[in-house]
Amino acid sequence: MKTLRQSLGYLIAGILLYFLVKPFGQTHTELKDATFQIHWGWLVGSFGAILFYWSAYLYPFATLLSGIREKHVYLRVAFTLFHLANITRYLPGRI
Amino acid sequence: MRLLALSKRFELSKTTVASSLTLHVGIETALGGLIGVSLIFSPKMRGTAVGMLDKISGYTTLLSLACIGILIGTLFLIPKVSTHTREFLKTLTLLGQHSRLWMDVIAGHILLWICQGFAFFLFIQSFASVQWTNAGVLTACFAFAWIIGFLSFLTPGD
Repeated sequence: MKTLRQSLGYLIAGILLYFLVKPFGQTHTELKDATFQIHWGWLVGSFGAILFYWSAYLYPFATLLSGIREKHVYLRVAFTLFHLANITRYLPGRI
Repeated sequence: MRLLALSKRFELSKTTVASSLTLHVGIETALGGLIGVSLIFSPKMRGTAVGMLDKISGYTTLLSLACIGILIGTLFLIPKVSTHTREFLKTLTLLGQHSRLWMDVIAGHILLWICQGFAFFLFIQSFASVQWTNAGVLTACFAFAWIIGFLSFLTPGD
């Protein structure tokens, strides 16, 4: 039973991975003859800034949580709460 | 239920966590809206921003007001929800005394918007050459687009 569940899990993961990678392949084919140039330095810098944003995003939430509770709340607690119970996912525009 | 389970695990009340999240998202949206609306003051983008704001017709405004009315009605008329709303308002009144906390939260959110705008500027820079003087306008454009996407009921969000 466990092996069957494991195999089913791998199959679902494989299907999801296929649909995840497929658009990248299509984009690559479409843009193969395009003339624009990608400056990888700026692109990596942009991803770095986004990574920093998501790391720092929890700070105001943790500050509010500490203020309302009137006791220091650790950033890791805020991290767990925010990413596992993020109500904004269910707000308009996040359907 | 997931929120409740996690709150209990960290010895936090459900109202505390829900109030923090609501305030967090509310402040983020309000500041993003302010940054986005500042596009009106940009000579380059004024036309586009005014054009987009003009598309919001009287019918849309009426529909939005009706939705807000229903939401406020739900918050105060359904007993179980109104208890939480009153608790939230009480928390907000208590927090009003902590000016340092508000300053920290607002400054944090402004810096986060600047960071997002900078990331957007770098992203565009990787495809086409853009002058650094346009970074502010691009940040406002990003905030404007984010707010429209976030508040829109029909378009998919991130």
